Amino acid sequence: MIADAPTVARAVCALRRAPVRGHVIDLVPYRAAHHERVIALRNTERASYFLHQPAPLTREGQAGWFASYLNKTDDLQWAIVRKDGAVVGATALYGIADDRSMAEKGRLVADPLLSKQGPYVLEAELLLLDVAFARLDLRAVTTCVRDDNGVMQHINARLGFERSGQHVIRGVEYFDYRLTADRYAPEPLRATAVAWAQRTSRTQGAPR
Amino acid sequence: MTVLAPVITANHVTRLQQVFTAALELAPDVDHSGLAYRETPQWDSVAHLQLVIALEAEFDVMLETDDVLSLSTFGDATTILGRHGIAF
Repeated sequence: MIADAPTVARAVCALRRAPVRGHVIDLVPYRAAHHERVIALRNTERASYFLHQPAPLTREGQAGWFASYLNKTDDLQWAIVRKDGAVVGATALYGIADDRSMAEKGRLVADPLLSKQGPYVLEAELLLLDVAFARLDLRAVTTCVRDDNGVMQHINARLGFERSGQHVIRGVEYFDYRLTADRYAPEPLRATAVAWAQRTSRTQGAPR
Repeated sequence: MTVLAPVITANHVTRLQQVFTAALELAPDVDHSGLAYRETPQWDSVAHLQLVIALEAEFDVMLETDDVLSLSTFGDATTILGRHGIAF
């Protein structure tokens, strides 16, 4: 996009052009066509609560955010797309430092009705961290989770994140987490995604 | 046969408990009857899928999608496996 842009910014631009392929889902670079589904997912009671969203997201608001996103070179937003093409969520890696010291993962939203149907969130998290550590060569990824979001805290612990502090946003307590590249050990969790893809292939004849 | 049946049943319960304990990474002395999806902290969506894969391998069954979705307690597992011919 920008010939003389810093290396990290160029890598971000390249990552915005192609999906990151997984076994049960792909991370597809976010585009306007995803607005409707992502707005619906973010406006569920559960997502609004855990994302501490002060008001329902609107199409105009999302379009405005997307316009500013396109001008950034430190932010990667993806739709989480199942192999059958269904958009099952969205996630992001942002605040990507030029010096490769860190980035933050967040803005995760997923269809709660599908949580038992496949490791969609798990593989989305793994693919995002693969991008962070293997393709952007970052040294650490941080995230924060609402203090009563036990499910996400547990998933972060599975991924190797360690508690690094806490802070308050608009009166709500958040726990801070940090994962360094040397602690990232995705293979046991990746095996679950692979096993599920194989199982789906056996039960349905082709991966979903 | 009437002597063997309870032994087989007990064996299935033990095997089922072992599958839950391993898949959900539970303490050895956990009360399995109190386990519930998303209420038991270790039983998150990832553990659920690992549990399904482990159940299928241990009992040589292939669970239907409805089974996967309805599995939310230890008791559910005995009911579901019962439909696949595994006696408890």
